[in-house]
Amino acid sequence: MATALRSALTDARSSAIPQATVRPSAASIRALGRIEARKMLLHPSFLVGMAFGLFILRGAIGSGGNVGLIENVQWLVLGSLGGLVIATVLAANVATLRSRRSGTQELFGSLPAPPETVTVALLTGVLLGPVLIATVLTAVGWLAFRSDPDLGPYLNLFLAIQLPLTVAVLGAIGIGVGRWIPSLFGGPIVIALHVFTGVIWAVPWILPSSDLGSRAPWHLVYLLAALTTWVALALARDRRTAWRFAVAAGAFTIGVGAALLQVPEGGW
Amino acid sequence: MTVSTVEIDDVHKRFGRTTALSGLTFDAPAGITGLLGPNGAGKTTLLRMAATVLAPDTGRVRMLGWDPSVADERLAIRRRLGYMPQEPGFHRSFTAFEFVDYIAILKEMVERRARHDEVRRVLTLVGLEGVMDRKIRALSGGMRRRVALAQALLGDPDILVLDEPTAGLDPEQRLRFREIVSERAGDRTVLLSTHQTEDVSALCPRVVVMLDGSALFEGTPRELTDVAADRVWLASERAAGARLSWRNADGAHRNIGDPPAGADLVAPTLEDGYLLLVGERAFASDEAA
Repeated sequence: MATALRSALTDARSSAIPQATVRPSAASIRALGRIEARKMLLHPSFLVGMAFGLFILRGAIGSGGNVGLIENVQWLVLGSLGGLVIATVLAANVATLRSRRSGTQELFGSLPAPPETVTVALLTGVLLGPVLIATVLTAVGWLAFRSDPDLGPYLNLFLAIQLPLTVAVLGAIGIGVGRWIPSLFGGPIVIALHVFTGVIWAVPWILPSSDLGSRAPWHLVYLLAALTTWVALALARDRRTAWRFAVAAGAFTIGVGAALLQVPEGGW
Repeated sequence: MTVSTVEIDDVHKRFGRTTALSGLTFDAPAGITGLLGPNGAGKTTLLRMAATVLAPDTGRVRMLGWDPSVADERLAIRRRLGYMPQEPGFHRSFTAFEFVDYIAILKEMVERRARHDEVRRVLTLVGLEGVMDRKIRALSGGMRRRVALAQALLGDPDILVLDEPTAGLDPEQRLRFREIVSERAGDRTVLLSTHQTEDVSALCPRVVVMLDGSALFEGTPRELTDVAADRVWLASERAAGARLSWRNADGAHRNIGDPPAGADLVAPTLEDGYLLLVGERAFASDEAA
């Protein structure tokens, strides 16, 4: 890990390839985004992450029993979303490291597309792949939970937006970490830091409840700020401009503020 | 008048304490220019500059009249450039088609059908039409070199920069490579670095020999061959005046250097001229030291 960090810092200092000045074109990003989405979804790390989520869920709920179809769908949706979160971090991180690991940086540096093209394409790949799946799962979950007498009445748009947005944030984290830490350990470390150090509980998910108040909007602000922070950091690795670092710092500040503002009175 | 499309003027480049280029100056007109030189002569550094991925410490580089140190002009060069690095690197989990397609997108070919047609064209050109759907990790080293060549040919670029493109290719593939490059040369410019003097003889109307970061020789293959005129002879053993000598398959020693009177002189090859030129410079350096 230390070696990887040293390597990243050395690269950052000596970034030898003179860069192009144009902005990435929308058509290039769409085309590359489709490829990246397909590669992410078919990558073993993604499939392993999904399987791991379902496996953990199965362990959590036991091996079954006499539950109805709707309950099964509910657990399947929840398990898939859990797996999707892990899988997205891993797959996005591995996809980001691909160019470095395969040694194509020099060749890519001689091409007219600016270096941001691949980073933005990776982000687009996250949207067209894992986030799209999260949206479909959310829609299925909405239908499955709507008839639930306990939770159905409390479903709302904030809850629905939260899930795909969380997947997008974790994809951006996978990409941002991959751009700055050129090691395959980056993705697993992000997951371990979230789960085993309690970071994941610092800003809990919003769960269906009658008492959401202003917490739901602040949670969405928090997610958008986290997304912006990591996207800006990833792009700052491609081209270190003060503007990108300023956006990252500003979004981070907003994210911290939004995290504090969603704490209910009396704390969690 | 011959117009130079690549102009290198008094270029210096250092990597730490190592001098890669020291006052290199030469021009390359349209057509194929072969770069010969021992390892460490600075060929790859020069080609990386031509490919706009490395900037000189001092000196001037011009490609098609543009200055790669100016951002807009660098972009204009990159839009007309095909580059095959010495170690290209591949996304091994991609198929040959996917990898070349990925690069085609980064070369701003965004219209899907036209791009796919172009990718198929270049892969067919290098003889990979039968394996374009195979993962790169499953391709042989020679096939991967051809994938690298295919991506360089995308869009029929005005300048081709090829760093040891024939390394690892079998004789048939090398012939195919010569055919592809010679057909495409025409009024385009090809910079070709190689250790294969046969490739230079067969392909290049112009050759530059590099040593210690500067150009030791510029001229035609005929002129380089003539460096060894009357200086190659056969004998039953290594001769006293020979700078280089090796035993042929038929048992005679082929000597290169200063022949004795009455020596059995033979016609030199390009390799003889190159070896004599580089060998004499190395010999002179040793003597000076």
